[in-house]
Amino acid sequence: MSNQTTVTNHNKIQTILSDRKKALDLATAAVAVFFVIILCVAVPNFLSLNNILNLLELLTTVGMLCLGMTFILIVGGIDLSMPAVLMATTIPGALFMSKTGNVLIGILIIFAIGAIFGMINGVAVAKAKMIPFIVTLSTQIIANGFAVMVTNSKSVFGLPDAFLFLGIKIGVVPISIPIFFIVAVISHIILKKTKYGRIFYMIGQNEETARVSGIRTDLYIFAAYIMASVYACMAGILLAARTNMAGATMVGNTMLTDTISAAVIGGASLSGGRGNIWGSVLGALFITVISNFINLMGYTYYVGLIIKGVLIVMIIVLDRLRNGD
Amino acid sequence: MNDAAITEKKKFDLSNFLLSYGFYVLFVVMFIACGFISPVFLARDNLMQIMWGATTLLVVAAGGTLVIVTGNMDMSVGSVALCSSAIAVHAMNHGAGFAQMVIIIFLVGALIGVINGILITYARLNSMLATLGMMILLRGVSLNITNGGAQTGLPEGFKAIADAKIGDVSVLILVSLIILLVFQCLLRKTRFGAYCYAIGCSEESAKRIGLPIRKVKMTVYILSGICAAFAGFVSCCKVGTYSGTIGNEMEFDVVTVCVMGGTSLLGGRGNVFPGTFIGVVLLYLINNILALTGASPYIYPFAKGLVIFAAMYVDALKNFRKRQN
Amino acid sequence: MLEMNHITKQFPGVLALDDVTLKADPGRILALIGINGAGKSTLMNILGGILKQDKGDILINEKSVSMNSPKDAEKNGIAFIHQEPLFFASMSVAQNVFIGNMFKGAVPILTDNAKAEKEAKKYLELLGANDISPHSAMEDITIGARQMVEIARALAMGANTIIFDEPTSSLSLHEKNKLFEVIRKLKHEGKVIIYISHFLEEITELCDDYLVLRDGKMSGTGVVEGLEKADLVTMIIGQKPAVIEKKTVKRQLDEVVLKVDRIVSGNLLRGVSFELKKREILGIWGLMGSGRTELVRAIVGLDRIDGGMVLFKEEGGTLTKIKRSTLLRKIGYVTESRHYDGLFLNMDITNNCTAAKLDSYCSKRLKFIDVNKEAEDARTLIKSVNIKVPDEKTRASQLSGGNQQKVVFAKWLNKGAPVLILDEPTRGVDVGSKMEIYKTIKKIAAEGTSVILVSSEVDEMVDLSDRVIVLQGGRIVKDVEGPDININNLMELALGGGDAHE
Repeated sequence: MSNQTTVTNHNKIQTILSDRKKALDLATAAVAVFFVIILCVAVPNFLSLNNILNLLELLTTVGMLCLGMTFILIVGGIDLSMPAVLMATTIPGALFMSKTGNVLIGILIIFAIGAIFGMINGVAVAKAKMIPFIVTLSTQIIANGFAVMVTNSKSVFGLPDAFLFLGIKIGVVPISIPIFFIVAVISHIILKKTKYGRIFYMIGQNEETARVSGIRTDLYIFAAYIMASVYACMAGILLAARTNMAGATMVGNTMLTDTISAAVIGGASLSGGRGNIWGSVLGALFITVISNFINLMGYTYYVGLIIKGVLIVMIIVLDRLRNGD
Repeated sequence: MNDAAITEKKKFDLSNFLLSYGFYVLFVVMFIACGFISPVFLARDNLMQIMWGATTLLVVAAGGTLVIVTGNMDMSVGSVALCSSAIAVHAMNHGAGFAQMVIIIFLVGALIGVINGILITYARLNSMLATLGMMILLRGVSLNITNGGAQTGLPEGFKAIADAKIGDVSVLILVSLIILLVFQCLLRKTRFGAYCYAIGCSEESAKRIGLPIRKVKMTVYILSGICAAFAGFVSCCKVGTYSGTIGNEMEFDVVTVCVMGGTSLLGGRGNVFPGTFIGVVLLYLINNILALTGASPYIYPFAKGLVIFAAMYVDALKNFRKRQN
Repeated sequence: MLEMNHITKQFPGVLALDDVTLKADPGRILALIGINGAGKSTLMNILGGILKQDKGDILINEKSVSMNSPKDAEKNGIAFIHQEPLFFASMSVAQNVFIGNMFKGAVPILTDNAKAEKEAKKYLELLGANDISPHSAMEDITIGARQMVEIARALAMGANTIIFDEPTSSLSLHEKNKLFEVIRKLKHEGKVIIYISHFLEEITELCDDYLVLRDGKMSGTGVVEGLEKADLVTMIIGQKPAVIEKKTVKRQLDEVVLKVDRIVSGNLLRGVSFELKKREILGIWGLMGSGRTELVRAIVGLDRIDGGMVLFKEEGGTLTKIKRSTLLRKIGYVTESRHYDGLFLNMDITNNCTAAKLDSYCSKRLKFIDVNKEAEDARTLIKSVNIKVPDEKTRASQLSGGNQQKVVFAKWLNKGAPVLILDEPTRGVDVGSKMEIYKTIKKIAAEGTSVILVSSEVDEMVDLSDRVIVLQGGRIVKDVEGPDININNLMELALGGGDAHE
C-alpha cells in the first residue's frame, strides 16, 4: 500500500521533471519561431525566394558540421577541431586539384587527411582516455597550423570544372542543398534505424552500462570521431565548390560555436545521450538565420560576435537547465 | 607478495621519471641544441629578446595555472586582455588619461573574473564552455567599441613603461618575474594555495572537510582576470598602440605552457615556478630558434600545434598511470 | 564521556533507531556491532551532525550538546575515520594533516609549512608511525599510512572522540596490527573510541565494551571480556527460528562452464580459484570488503587483474582460456548498482531489454534494427518477469526500484546467456519483486543457466545457493554445500569463525 503510493509519487516527480524538459524544449522552439516571425516582418525580402535559397545554401556548411557534431555530442564527446579540419583537408585537396585537375584523387586526399585527423582524435579520446575538449582543442591548432603551412597562408583558386559541378545551380536551386538533405536523411537513418545509432545513444546515456552489456565502447567512440571528420570534409568540399576557393578564411571565427550552438538548440546535450538530426538541422537553420539577419541589418561582424557569444552562454545555461539535477 | 608490492612503490622507474621530469630534460637539451644550431642564440641580446617576448604570456599563464590547479579552465583570457585594453581605449577617446586607463584595465579584468566566477561556481556551468562563450562575446564587445580593433595610438606613459629599465633589464620583465614568484608563493605558502590544490585533488573531499570551495574558485577566476588584464597592459606597452589582435590565441598558449610545465588538466598538481615559467620560455624558444634558422614562418603554428598535442598526450599518460596505481 | 540517550529516529516507512542508548567512556573502546541496515550508520550520522534525531539527547561530559551540522561535531571534538580515508593525493602528508587548521607564519598571510611538518611529525610519532615522512605526497604512501594521516588529522583538530568505521577493510594484516596498536595508544591517552566492525575476532581482540544493534533496536550491550562468540552471533542475527530449510539437492551436471584460476587483482584479491558447474547457483559469501564485488568485476574484465586467468566453455565447446575483455559478450552480469552501470535510465524498456542482444534484431547487411520484433520481445519479457508498467515504451527512470531491477534481469534473460553473474540482485527492491526475482533465478538455473550469486543478505544466500564459497580478505576460506548452507553457519563463517583466516 505505502509502497504503491511512493511509486506513484515517484512517477509524479518524473512527470513533472519530464514536463520541465518538454517545457524548455517548447520555450526554445517558441523563442526561435518568434524570432523568425519578427525577422519576416522587420527585414524586407527576408521571405523572398532568393533569400531563402541563399539561406539554405549557407546552411549547408554549418549544417553539415552540425550533423557530425550531433554524432559526437550523442556519444558524450565534443569536437572542437571540426572547422579547422574542414580547412586542413579541403585546402590541400583543392591545391592538388588546381595543380593537376584530377578531381577524384583530390577528393580522396581530402577524405584521407580527414580520416587521419579523426583517428588522432579518436585514439586520444577512446584509447588514451584524454578529455575530448582538450584533445580536439589541440588538433584544432594542429589542423589550423597545417592549413597555413600547406598554402603559406594563401588561398587556392581556379578549381577544376568537374569539381565546381558540386557548386552549380540547377535552375535556381544550388545543388549543394539537395546533397545536404540527402546526407541528413542518411544520417538520420543511421542514427535512428540502425544498430550503430542505437549504440551511440547507449554510450552517451551511460557508457558503463553499455560496456557491461558487452559493447565495445572504445571502438564506437573512435568511429564517431572519424565520422565527425568525414562530415567536416563533406562540408569543406561543398563550400569550396560553391565559392571556387579554398583558404584560411573559408570558415569564420564563429563557425565552431555556431556548430555547437546549433546542435544544442536542436536538442543535443553537452552531457551526451541526447540529440537528433532534424533538431540539429533546424538548429543550424536558426543559426544561419541569425547570421543572415546580422548581415541584412548591416551590423558589423563585431556585433555578430557579441550576439553569438551571448547566444552560446545562454545555450549552455539551457543545456544545464535541461539536464540539471 | 602483494603487500611487498605496495610498500616498494618508490622504486625508480625510467618511464615514470621521464613522464614527470622529461619536460625539464627536454628544455635543457633544446637549450643546448639551440646553442649549437645558431651561434647567436646564446647571445645575451637574444636571450633578452626571448624573455621580452615571453613577458606577455608569463603573468597570464601564472593566473591560468591557478585556475587549472583547481581543476577548471579559463578560455577567455585572450579576450579579457583585449577587452580590458579596448575599454581603456574607449575611455581614452572620452578623455581619460594614462593613470585612469591603467586603473580601468585592471578593474575590467577583475570584473570579468567575477562574471566568469559566477557562471562557474554559482550557475555551475561547464568551465571550458562557459569561458569559451565569454571569449567570443568579449572579443565582439572589444572590436565593436574600438572601431573593429583599428590601431590606436596610446598615451606616452605606455611606451615609457616599456622602455624603462633597471640596470639594463626591462622593468616589464622584472615585474613579470616578480609576479610569477608571488603566485608561486601564493600557491605554496598560503592557505588559499593549499585550498586550490585540495579542491583540484578532490572537490568531494574538500567539501566534506568543509573548505570554502566557492570563495576559492571565485578568487581564482578574479585573479585570472586580473592577470589577463595585465597581459593586455603589457601588449599595449610593448608597441605603444592598441590593436584588435591583442590576446589572439592566448588561451591556447596558456593551457599549453601550463601543461608543458607539469600542471595537470585534471587539477591538483602543478606549479608556477619553475613549471609554467619554463613552459612559457620553451614556447618562445621554439619560435626564436625557428626564426633564427630562417624557417618559413608558416611552419610556426603547425609546430606549435604538435608541441601542444604532445604536451597534452604526456599529461594524459601521466594521469593514466596514476589511475592504474 | 560520551552518551547518546534514548535516541529514536524515524525514516519514512522505517523506524531506523528505536530508543537506542550508547555510552562510551574515555580510556575504553566501545564496539558498535550490527549487520548492514541495523542502524549503526544512522546512529553515527546523528553523532556526526549529518542527521538529526527525533527523540533523545547527546551528552558530552554530562553536558547536553546539539549536533546540527558536521561543524558542530567537529567543535565538540568528534572525528570519524572512514573506511576509505579522505585525502588529497598530490599534497604532502603534513598539508593533509593540517588542511583544516593551518599554522600562521611570521607574515600573517603566509602559512608556516616548516612548523606544519614538524607538528605533523610529532603527531605521527605519537601514533608510532615514525616511518611516514611528513614531506612525502599522499599518493606515494600506502593505504594504511593514509589512514594514520587521517587519524593524525583528527588529533590535530583536537578530537577527543574518535569513531573508526570499519577501518580494516582494505588493510593488510601487518597494517591492521599497526592500526590496533595506535587505537590502543589512543585509548590509554583517555580518548573516547567507538569501533565499528563486522569482524568478531577484531572485537574480541581490541574492544572493551560492546553495543549490538539489530533492526534499529539494541539487542545487547556489556563488557567484551568473557563473552561467547556464539552469543554475540545470536545478538547480531537474532534468534532466527531454527528452520534450516532442508535443501533439496538439485541434480546438477558435472560439466564445468566457467573456471577461475588464481586471480590476483588490486590490493584485495589474493589468488581466488573456483569452478562453476552447469545449472548450479554458486553463492559468493563474505562481508563488505571481503572482495566479493571486486572478484566478479575482475572475472568479467572490468577491473585490471595482476595474475591468474579465466576459462570459459562455450556451448558445445571445451573449457578454454578466454580473453577477459570478450567475456561480457558471452555472459550476463547484473551489477551491484543498476543506476551506475545496469540501466540506461533515459531509454525505454524496449531499448534496455535488447541492449545486450542488439545483433539478433539487425538485418544482415545494413544492420537495420527490427523495432517491431524488439517491441514484441519486450512485451513478452515484461509479462514473463512481471514488470509493472503501462507499456514497453516507458522509460526506465520512471519505474520503481523493483521494476527497474526486473528490467535488468529481462535484458540478460533476453540474451539467454549460459552464465549469469548476479551482484546484490535484490538491493533496494520491495518484498514482492524480491520474491519474483528469486523465482526467476531458480527457474533459469533449472533450465540450464549457471548462476554466480553475490549477496550480503544471508537469507537470500541460503534460499538460492546450491553451493557457497566464503570469501574473507580476498581469499576463499571455505566451500560449503547442502545442509551446511544455513544462516548460523554462514554468519559465523563471515564474521570470522573461518578456520583458514590468517
